[in-house]
Amino acid sequence: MKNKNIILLAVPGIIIAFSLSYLGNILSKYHPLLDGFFIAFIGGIIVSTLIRKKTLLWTGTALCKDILIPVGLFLYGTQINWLKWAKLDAPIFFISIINIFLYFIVIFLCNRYLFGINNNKLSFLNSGANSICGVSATAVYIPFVDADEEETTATLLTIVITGLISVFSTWYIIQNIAILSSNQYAALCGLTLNQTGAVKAAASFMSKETVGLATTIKFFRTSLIIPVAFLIMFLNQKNTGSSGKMSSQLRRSAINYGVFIGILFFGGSLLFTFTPLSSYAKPISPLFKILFGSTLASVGLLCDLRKILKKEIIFNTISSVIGWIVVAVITLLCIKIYL
Amino acid sequence: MANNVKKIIDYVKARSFLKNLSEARLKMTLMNQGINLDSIKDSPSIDPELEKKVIDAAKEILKVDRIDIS
Repeated sequence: MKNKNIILLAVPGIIIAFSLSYLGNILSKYHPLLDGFFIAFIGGIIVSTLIRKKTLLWTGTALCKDILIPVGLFLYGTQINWLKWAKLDAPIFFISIINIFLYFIVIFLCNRYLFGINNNKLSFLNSGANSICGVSATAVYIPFVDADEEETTATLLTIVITGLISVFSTWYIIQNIAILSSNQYAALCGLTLNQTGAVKAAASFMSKETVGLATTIKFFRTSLIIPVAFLIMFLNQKNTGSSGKMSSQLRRSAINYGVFIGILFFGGSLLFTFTPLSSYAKPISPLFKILFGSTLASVGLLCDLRKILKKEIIFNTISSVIGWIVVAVITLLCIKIYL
Repeated sequence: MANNVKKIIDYVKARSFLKNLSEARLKMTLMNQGINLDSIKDSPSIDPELEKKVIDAAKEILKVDRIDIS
């Protein structure tokens, strides 16, 4: 297959991915709840579920994932400012790490022992995505557990439902009961909600200042995306039967990939924090939103809702919500004690 | 015959910089021959002729003369 043919075959998928990202970007300006990445991704799922001739999308979405995930992660890194973290209270960092382990423990135990789901990839993808950054993390973690399309779709759907439930529960239930201060509420949002869009939406119920602090905290969690990727790969290899394990060559390839995107992500964040490039972080933001949105749209374009409507997926979502509840309760207690 | 299609896909992905694109090209090449890669990769066994077609497609994608999936 010649390069020219590949480019021609890729055009439909690329155009659809970028169009969905652009649409998400426009709609996001109207309300904080309308997260551009979320819209791009959901748009991808809807288009994919409706399109019969999926071969139209294969090449373009594959190219988007291969090129835009590394580029998107670099640009994501440019939006992270390490100096802002220096102003955060120390307990925030410890609670972030604890929450990651809590998500893994609760979701794994619920799936395995409560619902009898033996698909470890699903559990680890779910945990990783919830603990770090929802849809973005899922897109990054696919090669680390060699997840197939069904497992990816199921995880993404779980993230969306958990995100929606947790956003409204955080403001209308938890805040009503706990009556947290602005900083405490920002910490709760930043430490527990699974998507940056969800964090912004929940924090915006309180105030604009709350959004700023909550997002800074959330970005710290996002910075752990690569270490958690390796954790997921390690756990999957240790806890999965031989049929589900990745081959050694694929594992080596995933490790190389992890190092590569890790360098891009951290490199971008360090360059745009500690060098004169930091003044370009804001001008780059629109490019980041379009490109990363296209990445998530292309992940959505791989999903087909009709293939994943099974009992297992419902249980996986319930595990995810239980995971969020446990994390939210523990985080609330820690916030009340330490912040 | 034991199904080695998953191993072939892994081999192609492990040796490609643009892994998803290589897998998509493999799917497209086989689709043009009337073979749905997704439906055969998880079968417990496979027709040797079918596996040979997958191997030939993989060699074409990687531009190599042989692949070793042992």
